Amino acid sequence: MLRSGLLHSSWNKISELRASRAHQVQTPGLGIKLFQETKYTVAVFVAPPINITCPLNSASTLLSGTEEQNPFHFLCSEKISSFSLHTPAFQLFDSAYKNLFGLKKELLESKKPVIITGAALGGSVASLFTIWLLETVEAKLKRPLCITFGSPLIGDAKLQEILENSLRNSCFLHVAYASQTPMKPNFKPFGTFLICFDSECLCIDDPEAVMELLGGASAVDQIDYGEVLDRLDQTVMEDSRLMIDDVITRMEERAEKKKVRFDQLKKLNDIKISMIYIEWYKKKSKMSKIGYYDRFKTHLVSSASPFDVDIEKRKIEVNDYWRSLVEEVEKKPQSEKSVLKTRSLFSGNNYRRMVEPLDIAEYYHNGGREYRASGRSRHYVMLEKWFREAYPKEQHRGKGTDLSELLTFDSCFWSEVEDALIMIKSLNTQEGDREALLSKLVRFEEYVWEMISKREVSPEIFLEKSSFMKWWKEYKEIIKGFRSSDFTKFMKDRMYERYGQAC
Amino acid sequence: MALDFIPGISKALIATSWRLSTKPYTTNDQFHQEVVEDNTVVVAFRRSFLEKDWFAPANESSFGETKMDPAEFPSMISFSNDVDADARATVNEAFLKSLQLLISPSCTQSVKTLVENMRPRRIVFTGHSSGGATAILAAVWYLETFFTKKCSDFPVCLTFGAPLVGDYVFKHGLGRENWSRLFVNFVTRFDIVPRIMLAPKASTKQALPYALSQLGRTRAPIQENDQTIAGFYATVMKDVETAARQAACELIDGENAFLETFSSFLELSPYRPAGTFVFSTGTRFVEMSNSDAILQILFYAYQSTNEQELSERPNQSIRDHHGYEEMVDSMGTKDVYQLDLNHFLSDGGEYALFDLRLSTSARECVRAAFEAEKKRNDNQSKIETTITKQSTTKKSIEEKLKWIEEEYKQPRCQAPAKGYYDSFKESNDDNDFKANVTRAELAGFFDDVLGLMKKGQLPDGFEGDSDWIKLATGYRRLMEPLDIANYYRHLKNEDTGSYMGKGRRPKRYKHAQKLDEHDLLKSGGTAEKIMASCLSICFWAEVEDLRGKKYDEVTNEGTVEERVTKLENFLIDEKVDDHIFLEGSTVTKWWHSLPEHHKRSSLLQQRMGYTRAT
Repeated sequence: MLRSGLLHSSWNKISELRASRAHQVQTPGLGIKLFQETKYTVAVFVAPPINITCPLNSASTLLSGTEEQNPFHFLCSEKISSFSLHTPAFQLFDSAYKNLFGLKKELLESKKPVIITGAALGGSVASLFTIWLLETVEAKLKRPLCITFGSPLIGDAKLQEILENSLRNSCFLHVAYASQTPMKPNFKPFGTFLICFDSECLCIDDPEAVMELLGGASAVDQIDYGEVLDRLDQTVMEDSRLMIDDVITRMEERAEKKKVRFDQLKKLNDIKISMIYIEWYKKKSKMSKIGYYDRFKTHLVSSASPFDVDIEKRKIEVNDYWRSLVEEVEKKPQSEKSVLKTRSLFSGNNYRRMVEPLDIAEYYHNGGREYRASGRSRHYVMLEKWFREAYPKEQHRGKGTDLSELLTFDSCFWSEVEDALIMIKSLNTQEGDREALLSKLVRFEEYVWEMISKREVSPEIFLEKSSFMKWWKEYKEIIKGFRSSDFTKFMKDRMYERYGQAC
Repeated sequence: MALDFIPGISKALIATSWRLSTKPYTTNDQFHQEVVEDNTVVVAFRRSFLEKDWFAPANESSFGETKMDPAEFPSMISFSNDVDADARATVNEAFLKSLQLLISPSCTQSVKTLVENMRPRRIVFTGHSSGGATAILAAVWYLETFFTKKCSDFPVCLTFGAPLVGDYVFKHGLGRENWSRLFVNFVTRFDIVPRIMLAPKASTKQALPYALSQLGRTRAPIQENDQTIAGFYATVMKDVETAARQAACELIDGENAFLETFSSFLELSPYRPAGTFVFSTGTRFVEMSNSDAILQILFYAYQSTNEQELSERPNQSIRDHHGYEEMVDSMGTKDVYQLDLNHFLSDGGEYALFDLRLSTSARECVRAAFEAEKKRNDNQSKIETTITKQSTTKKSIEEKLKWIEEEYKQPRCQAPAKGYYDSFKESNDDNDFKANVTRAELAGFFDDVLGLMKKGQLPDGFEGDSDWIKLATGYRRLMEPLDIANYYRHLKNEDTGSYMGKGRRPKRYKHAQKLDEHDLLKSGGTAEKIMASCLSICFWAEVEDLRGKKYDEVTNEGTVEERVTKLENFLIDEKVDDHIFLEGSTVTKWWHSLPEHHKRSSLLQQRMGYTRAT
């Protein structure tokens, strides 16, 4: 890395710009200059020395809220909606916002790769600007590189957590002299660090290890990194190896943990196989005219066959998989959400429609009510939301399509059935407001009818022993003589027997 | 120890090759030829020290590179890198042009005519310096043009101090076809020429014509204090260092997003060593074919921490570029040390690394290169175990395929059954479920293997191995119909479109098909035969797509009527399995749903048992 010349040339540009500003008296604020090199564009940030403008331990600024309030709004995720930045750096950034806006536009249009650099507080602003420039990152696009020299940390643990889950993290190289880079309490590093000692250096990206190696209280402006780089350049040629054993051991442990987390997501194929089992379970249940929802519900009550027990295990397995996948995606900054690829979006949707009914069965078996409003796991909500965002209008099923393998579009359908059954029970025991209950039941009827007309519901709901048919039998008695509709006709004339068949 | 780089290549043959490579030209000829040992002919290519013959003048890329044309070089491709778009090999354009001149029909002294006349004699392609580069490309062209899997008279390519010619894909292609072993590159320790292509044009541009002219002078040594030459050598070696260190980082750290960002700012040479390299170290020869390790050696063997030694390097280098006479002479007297994985694992390559005076960190890098090779080999043996050997918990891949073929497919492919496609699509039986689980297990296995290939974590030869191609093809033929059935059973066509649409068909099948097609091409198959091999599976998807369409509809792929006719012709012309026409099969049901007027004139009438409605 040292021999590439990128670090030297960045430092030289900073020195050049600093020198050109030195003879101007009392330059307040930020200095920015663009250098057009043959192979790349370099944007250099120079800021006033840290000890003049502000004490190092100056406060941090909490950023949250909408786009208007927070220029870094795009970093927020479902999980993390706010984070804190180093106040002096943010103020400098904010004061030059208009200029930076123009620079952002220019750099985004640049055909050459972009290097953004700065030393001390200038480097902090360079980092902030780079994050801002990376509002849209795509794996295939050329990424810019931000090189800072001896800059204080700019953000808190939340910012670090956001960036850790993002490609953006790969765009930062912080060169820092070990003993002279003060740490601010609660602030955390991100990106890759080149930590310099007297004649050696170490390149790491593990934030905890960086924290352990950096430290010290002295001011950071006075170091000439040009000299540091030259000195290191000499030693790199010889065989030098810096060993800080315990730091390395701990790094390895963390890397191992990260790997385990990653491996969990890798067993996609096992999940597919479990889904095949559940699919088969559904088929078998249909053959015994009960429907897999009701079979699952029944076996929760009475003793179960080994197949039922196995399905219960597989349900837990696939749930765990999707729950952790959704969690990972939720940590991603919102501008990177498209990482959930089309294929996983569809398999996630398929999973939700297949497995959520089983969770509903369990929920009502345990005495729950109003699942949709108060019992639903967050990962189902998110999967549905993301799917809707990507496909606001789902294709209707063709008129002649055989629906026998269709999964009901609304994965909460069975909870609506359960709630309707509870209402009927209340009616029969004369609890509650009869009129209100009746109108709710009619609403449920309309809801079902709409799905039937749109061919969005599985024909399995009409199986003899299904809860839905149980509801219908009781509902039929209640409305006898005073209500008839397309739906009641459809049910009474047993037109459902031909529902969903291919023609 | 004897010289046995390649069986049948004698010391005398190497000596002849060297003599012919440096024999002066009195005419405009571009190569010399000589028949030796009755059945072998040596073709040596002319070298040039003019800049235009090293970097094509009109070429604007940083390293003078260009892509190879797959029509001319069908094997110089990576099938696994990106299944949807073949990654073509990159080579130096100037070297490619010098070959193309020699094989064009308008050429008066054509290599093409020569080799056609000389066959079936064995041909040795050879050359010194840039002549070696032409020899490498000529050998590749010869293999691509005249070789099918049945041939046995393999050509050989011997180069002396040749520059690097092609990139990773070039090296991968040679490895996959099992051709790497036919290329032997002799390199003296300090010769700059095998290193030159690692430096971008821009950094050497000014000094290059002069440096080349100095390399071309065989006699008078340069002045000790020639600053231009010293600067040129320092620049080249700095770029070699960047390339070697970057490659070492990748070997040691693996995939790393920061490294990726950082290296996008460096001008990294695409060229990589390909084939076997034989280095002379003074006391012995070191033979090696691990491309990554060779790259490291190209850098570290030149290095020195001693200022005095470094200042002597340019002179040494020029001497070494012409020092092959001595190397050839000493063959047979000096030891040959094979620095391969086995030796490296047993003694750490001590002798060789000592002879090349490698430092500790250099050895670390060479070690990393061999560790990576070991990992590739381990991955391969793990796969091979999964294919054939049954573990305690899982059945082997072969066993699973056998079960599908014999226990699942065959009973369902005789009347009164509907064929295994439709049986699977309906899935009413315990065995259908079992087949479905097996389908997913097999998919997992083939996806994993493809993932390893894509990341370069299997030996180059793995994909070209005929056993693997056979297995993958068998798998595709047997199982893809089930994947298609599964796709349409779950109405995925209504969600995301046709199975054959972009991004729908699993990559494992696309890849297996590519390997199969390439194999057919290499064994002399015709274009029609290759096309049919693909259709013979995927017609199921076409039937499913057509089922949902009206006869007079117009689709993106043409009118339905045209598509129907095309499909019918295929079903008649090709020997498709009989079970496709069983009553109750999707094909039969679909055909009978076609309009009467179509059926009346259809060629499939008889096959479908159609009798005209009266």
